[in-house]
Amino acid sequence: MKNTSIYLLAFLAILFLSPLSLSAQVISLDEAPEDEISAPFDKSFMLMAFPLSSYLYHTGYENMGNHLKSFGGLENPRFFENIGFGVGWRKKNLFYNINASLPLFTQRDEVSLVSMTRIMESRDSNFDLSVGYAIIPSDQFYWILRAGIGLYFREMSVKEISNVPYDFRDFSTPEGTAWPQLDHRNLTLDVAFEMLPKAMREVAMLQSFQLGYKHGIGSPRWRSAEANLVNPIRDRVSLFYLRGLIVISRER
Amino acid sequence: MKFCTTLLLFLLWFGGPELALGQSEQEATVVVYRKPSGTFAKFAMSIDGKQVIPSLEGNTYYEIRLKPGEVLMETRGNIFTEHKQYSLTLEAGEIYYLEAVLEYQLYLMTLHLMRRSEQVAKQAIRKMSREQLE
Repeated sequence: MKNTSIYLLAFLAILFLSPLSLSAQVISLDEAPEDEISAPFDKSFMLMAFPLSSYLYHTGYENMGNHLKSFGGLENPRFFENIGFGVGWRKKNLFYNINASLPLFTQRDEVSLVSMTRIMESRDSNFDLSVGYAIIPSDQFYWILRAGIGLYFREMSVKEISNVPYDFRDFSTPEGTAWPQLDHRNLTLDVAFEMLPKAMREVAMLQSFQLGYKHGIGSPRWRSAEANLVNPIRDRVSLFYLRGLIVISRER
Repeated sequence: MKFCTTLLLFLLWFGGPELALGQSEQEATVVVYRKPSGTFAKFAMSIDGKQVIPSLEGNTYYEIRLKPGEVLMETRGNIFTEHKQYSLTLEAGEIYYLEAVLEYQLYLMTLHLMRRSEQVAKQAIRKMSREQLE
């Protein structure tokens, strides 16, 4: 959770270093002034960036979870924090999006034994396409129900490092062993609910929040590019996510 | 005579709120309204440095009687809000309609005041709660 702490510190720094209430020039309402803001536009093109995180909570990968536990007390990580980005288009209340998310940090679990330390590292990323519709009428927000399809990736490695001190001059005989790097890819179906403020300027910066669920189609095998796997296990992705994105919106 | 009295009472009863607006020739009336809004953001409104509305509520219109002349109106919220200032020159007997519109931007909320025509404003405030301020 150290990355969450970094974000929290950055947020607090912004809070305390920036003016809490910005002030502006006096605007005259005497003549019909050109309004600073407009009613929501019909179309948008949106670039979505990542300064806000996506939080993923896994309820899938059960077979690998059981395998890791029985192999040596390792816990399959359930909580991941990713950064997301993407592009989107809107035509009135209809939204089309392409999103991707990448891991900021590797999730890690380790078990210390008498003669060695067993370490598991895991990284998740995903890509998805979605279509959404603003289902609740509101003057200030789009409340969007989304459905989509995507591809979910997980990379995982497990290694055991001997507790015997490592001699740097004896580089050719390192102590320890490792699994081949494993990866898992699963097509997913996606359903999400999103809150996006309505842009009132031709170019606007906004925040979007999505709460969603991804479910794997089928249970593909774990694979490895480094070795032929015998009796590979199968797994299905199942996860809930909260995705925060900064949206730069161009309105027409 | 009885019919005329009844008719007058009837007109006063049904035309009350409209007749009340701008009834004084010595004062101007500013009507500020905010459409229904599902936000927790709290904005106050001041006129000439004096807070007249501590929290501009959604689905409410505020009728404010003021002396003629130029006034400075401000909207201000808590953290991550923009402080806006507007000037408006009031004439005695006139009614001015202003819509308070909340804008969300990245880490920033702004309550804009926008001048509206009588027709647009009356349509908007038709079903809103009324608050009268002196």
